[in-house]
Amino acid sequence: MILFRRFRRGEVIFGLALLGVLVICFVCWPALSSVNPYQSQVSNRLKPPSFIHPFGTDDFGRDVLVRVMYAGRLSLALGFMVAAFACLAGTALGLVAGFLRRLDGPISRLLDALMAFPDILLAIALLAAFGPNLVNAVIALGLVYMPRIARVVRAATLVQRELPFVEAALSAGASTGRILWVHILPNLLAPLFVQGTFVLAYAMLTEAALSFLGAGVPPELPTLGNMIAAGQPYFGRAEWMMIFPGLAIALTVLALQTLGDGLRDALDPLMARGR
Amino acid sequence: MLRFVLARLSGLVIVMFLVATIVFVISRVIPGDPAAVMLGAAATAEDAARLKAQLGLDAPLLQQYIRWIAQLLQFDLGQSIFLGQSVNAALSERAELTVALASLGLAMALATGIPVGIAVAVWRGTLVDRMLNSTALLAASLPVFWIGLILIRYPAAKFGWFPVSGYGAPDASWREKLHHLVLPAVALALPNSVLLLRTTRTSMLDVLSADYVRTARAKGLSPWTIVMKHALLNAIVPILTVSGVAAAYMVGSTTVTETVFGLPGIGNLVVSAVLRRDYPVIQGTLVVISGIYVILNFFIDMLYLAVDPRIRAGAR
Repeated sequence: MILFRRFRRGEVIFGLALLGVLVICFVCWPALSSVNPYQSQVSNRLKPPSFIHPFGTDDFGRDVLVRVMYAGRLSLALGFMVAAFACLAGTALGLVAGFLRRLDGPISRLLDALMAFPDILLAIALLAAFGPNLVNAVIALGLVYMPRIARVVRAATLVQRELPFVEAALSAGASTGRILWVHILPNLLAPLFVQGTFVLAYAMLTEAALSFLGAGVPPELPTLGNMIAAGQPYFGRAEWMMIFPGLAIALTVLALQTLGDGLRDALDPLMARGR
Repeated sequence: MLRFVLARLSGLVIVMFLVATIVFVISRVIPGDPAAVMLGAAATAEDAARLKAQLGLDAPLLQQYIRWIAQLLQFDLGQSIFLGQSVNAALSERAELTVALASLGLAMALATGIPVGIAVAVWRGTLVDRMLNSTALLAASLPVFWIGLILIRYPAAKFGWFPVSGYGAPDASWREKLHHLVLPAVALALPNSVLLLRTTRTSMLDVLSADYVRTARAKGLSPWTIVMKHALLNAIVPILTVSGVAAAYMVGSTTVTETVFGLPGIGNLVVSAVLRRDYPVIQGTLVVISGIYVILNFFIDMLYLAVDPRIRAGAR
C-alpha cells in the first residue's frame, strides 16, 4: 500500500495514462478499422486530411491514420524488445562487474569504450555489420543501450554488496550465484525498470533516425521512422505524411520519459526533496 | 593529484585501444567484399584478388589487426576506397563545417539551457516553471531530423528567412556560411538545451535548499549574489558533466542534421561511407569521433579538479 501511494504522483499518472491511451490506439485501431493499411489506391494519392482520411493519404493513396497506428505498434514493440535485450545483457554484465572485483576493471573499461561511440553512429555501424533486418536492429540497438543499464546495475550492486544481509548470506554459506540471484537482483528491479523506460524511449528515437538515414530496418516495414522517411520527398506537397508519424513518436517518447522521471523520483526520495 | 591525472590518462589510453579494437571487429564483420564493390560486376577474380592484396585484405586477420593499430599510432587512417584521397584528408576537409556546426549548436544550448534552468529553479512550483518544464520535455521527445524537416519547411522554404540547404558556394563569406548553419544548429541544440535545462534545474534545487543558502539569505545578501555566487558555483559539477555529454552528443547527431540539411560535413561522410561500404572511412571516422568524446571527457574530469575543491581534496 505504501509503495502504491508513493507512485501516486502527477508525472507517473500522466505518463501511464498517455502511454495507455497510445497503446490501446496502436493495438485496437487497426483491428477495429475497416481500412486496410496496405491497400493502395492510386486515384487517392496525397489527399490532404479529410473526414474519411483524418490524417490524409500517402503517395500510394493509403490511409495515413491507420498506417500510423500500425507503425506505432511495430515501433513500440521494437523499442520494447531493445529495452528487454539491453536490460538482460546489461544486468548480467553489471552484476558480475559489481560483485566480482577482479572483473570490474575490464568490464568497466569495455563499457566506457562502447559508450564512447555516439548512439546513432554505433547503431549504424553495427547494423551495417549485421545486415538490416528487424532482429538485427533489435540486437544492434540493444548493444548500443546495454552499457547504460550495466553501469546503473553495477553501481547499485556495489552499494548492495556492502549491506549486512549480503554478509549474512555469505556467512550462511550461500554461493555467489545465489547471492546475486536471490538477494541482490530483487533490489535492483526498481532502478532497472526506470532505466528500461528511458531505453525504450531512446530506442524509438534512434530507430526513427536510422530509418531516416536509410540505414535502419528494411524500408518496406511500416515503422514510424520509415513512414517519415517515405514522406520526406513529398514534404511541401503532403506534409501530413510525415507530421503525423513524427507526432506519434513524440507523444510516445513523452509518455515514456515522463513516466521514467516520475518513477525515478518516487524511488529516490532524496532526489525529489526539492520539489 | 598528479597520480589522479596519470590514472585518468592511462584509462584514456586503454579505452582508446578498446575503441580501435571494436571498430576493427565491426569493420571486418560488415558483409560484402570491398574489392568486388570497387571493381564492379565486370571484374574478373584475378582483378579482385590483386586489389585485395593491394588493400592488405588478403593477410590473416591478426596481421591486419596489428597493422591497423600500428597505423593508428602514426595517426594514419589509410586511403578511402571511393574518394581517391586519404581518410585524413577527407576528414580535415570536412572538419571545419562540422566543428563550426557543433560549436554553434553547443553555444546555443548553453546560452538557453543554463539561464532558463536557473530561472525555473528559482521560480520552482510556479506556473512558469511548470510550463517551461513540460514544453522542454515535449521538445526533447521530438526526433531531431523531424525538427530539422519542419525548420526547412517553414522558416526556410515558406518564409525564406534562411537558406533551405547546403553550405553556400565554396568561396562564400563567413557570414553567409553562418547563415546556412543557423537552422541546423537550432535542430542540434534543442535536445541538448532541454537536457541542460533539466540538469541545471535539479542541481540548483538541491543547492538552493542547503543551509548555507539560508544563511546567506539571513545575512541579507541580494538574491542575485545568492543565486549566482553561492548556489550556482556549488551546483556547477553536474552541469559541467552534462555540458560534456552535450558536446559529445553534438558530434554524433551531426550525422542526422547534416544529412537533413545537405551539409557536406563529417556526419554526411560517415553515412555515405556506410551506404557505399567504404571501410577505411567508416573506421577512421568512428575512431576520430569516439576519440574526441574520450578526450572531451578527460578534460571535463580535469575541469572538476579546477572547479570543485572537494574533488581536488579527494584526488590527492
